[in-house]
Amino acid sequence: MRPVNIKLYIITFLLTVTIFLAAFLSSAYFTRQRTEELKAMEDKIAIDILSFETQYELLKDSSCKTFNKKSLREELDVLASKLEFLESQVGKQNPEVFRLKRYYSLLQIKDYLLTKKMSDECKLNLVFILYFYSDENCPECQTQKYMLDEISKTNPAVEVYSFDYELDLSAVQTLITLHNIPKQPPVIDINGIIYPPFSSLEAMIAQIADLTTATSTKSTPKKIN
Amino acid sequence: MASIETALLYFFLFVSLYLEIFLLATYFGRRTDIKKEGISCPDTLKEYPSVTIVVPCYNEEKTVQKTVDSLLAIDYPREKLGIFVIDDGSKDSTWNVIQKYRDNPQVTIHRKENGGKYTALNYGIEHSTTDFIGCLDADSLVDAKTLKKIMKRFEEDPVAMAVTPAIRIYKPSTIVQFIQSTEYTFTILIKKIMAFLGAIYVTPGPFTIFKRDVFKRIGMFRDAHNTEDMEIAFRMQAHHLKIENVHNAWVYTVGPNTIKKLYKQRLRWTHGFIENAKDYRHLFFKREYGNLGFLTLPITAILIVGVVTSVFIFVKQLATFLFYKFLHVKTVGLASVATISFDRFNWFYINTKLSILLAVAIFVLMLTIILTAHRIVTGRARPTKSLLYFLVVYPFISPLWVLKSVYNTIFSKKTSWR
Repeated sequence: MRPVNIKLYIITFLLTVTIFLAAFLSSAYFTRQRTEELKAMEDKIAIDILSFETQYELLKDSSCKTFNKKSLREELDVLASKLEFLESQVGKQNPEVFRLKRYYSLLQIKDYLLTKKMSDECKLNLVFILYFYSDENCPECQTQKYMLDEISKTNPAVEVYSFDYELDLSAVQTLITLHNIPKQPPVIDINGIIYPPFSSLEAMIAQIADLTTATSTKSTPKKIN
Repeated sequence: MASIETALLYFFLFVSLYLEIFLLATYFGRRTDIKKEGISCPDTLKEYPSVTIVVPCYNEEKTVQKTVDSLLAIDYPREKLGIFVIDDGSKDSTWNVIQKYRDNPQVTIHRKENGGKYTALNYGIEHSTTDFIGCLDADSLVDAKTLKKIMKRFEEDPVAMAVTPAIRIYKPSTIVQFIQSTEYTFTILIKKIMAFLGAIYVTPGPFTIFKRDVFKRIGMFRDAHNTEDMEIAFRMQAHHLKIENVHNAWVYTVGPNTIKKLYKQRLRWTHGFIENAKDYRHLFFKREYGNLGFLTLPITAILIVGVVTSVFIFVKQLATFLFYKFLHVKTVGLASVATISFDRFNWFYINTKLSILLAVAIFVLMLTIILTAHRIVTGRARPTKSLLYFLVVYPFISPLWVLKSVYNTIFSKKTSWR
């Protein structure tokens, strides 16, 4: 029987630990890169919103011509998608993800307030949906999310804003209080009216169609970009 | 629960990585020896000891003739090589087929009541008188130079009590056989490394040659959960009898040509390993049993548990994924879900989880071992069709027999030969 070469066992162990560490550091590096990218995106969106708010103050009524709703929305959507992916990579409890998520929610509220203001000013006939979900004990949240994603994708007149009901962010909690959002997610607030979870995509589409028709008969939209 | 799963996953990844690095480190440490051995092709031996090759047959009418013919073509003095063909109560025409060797002075044919392969081997050993005894499964063929190479090893290393050959798949023609072709090539290198480590735990049915003394000292073959070639190796190791390997002593075996047949064979092997490892558990973590007790047996056992655990984790994740896909389709329709979003083709969405990066490292090392083995066996280290089949199919089929083996062990179920 050949004797056990302890040196070989130890060297192998050290090499294995080295590869493990290299993989760990590489993974952490890629996560850091992603986090940085998302931070930069969030900062850019914040600047865009602030820039438009300032522009609005300066130009008042004529700001309808310069308001680019689509561009802001697209940026927020890409940010949401990337944030969701990062969350799946490093977990919901990761402090950086948590911080980015809070910032993202804040940006959504800012975008909501701005777009709503512009919609009223420019008669855009937009439908605003505030969706409150929870990551825990919410079996219907996933189906409601699928429906809202689909509507958001297919109907440019609908603005969907999703918020984690449990998120520890005073702005979100204020929104919950102001809109009298009940404690049981999923909750869907469409143009200020609270709806229980929809049973099907068709039901949700029909409800939104009713609201769109009702709004468009009241006003004539101004031209926007 | 999730944290236990994660901890287990990383533990198994660590063990897999450790094993691969250990194998590669051993290989690089002995690379020159392997090269030297590969070049040497002994034309002469100082002495030509008498050898008996026992060929146990059970319903081998289609392959036995080729097997015996390959033995008769071996480059070894005829008077020193005897061939015992033992018909273990075949129900087909094996007995009639082997009648053609009745008058061949090198071949002795025997017929006995069916009792299993190990009884046929023991019958052959009991009726032989030579100092060296080999066995050859009746679905395998031997290269003409193989016996000389193996006997040369016995000559060079008087302490060696058994020498195993290098087994390759005979003329692969189905995908299942191509998969085995790469697997067997890979195993040739692993066996060589294990021989360097003194940690071989199988003396394969196709053409392992034993010194008669082995059977005198530790007894004959046993049923051993239908893996008598594994049990005798365990027993030899337990008695500190050295098992050597010649990595260029070619033996060709006909691999199962369908998944079902492969599954049955591997189920028998894997279940045999688990049962024999249980029977010889006293070898685990004992320094006196060297690398076998410290490395090979514990890591193989851990990896079997690892495969079972990984399958459960994989199935759970797959079920969750499929559930949400189904829910998505049910909610918004197939057309919407099936639409490909090109926004996702972005470096940002490349999965760089630690477990994925470790899996990539394990895959790269595995590929290195396979290509190294290819170079040793064929002289070239380039990817082949077999390698592609192996990489794509094997990871999905091998867990099947591992799971069933563990199930059989837990519920004390036996495996069958065919």
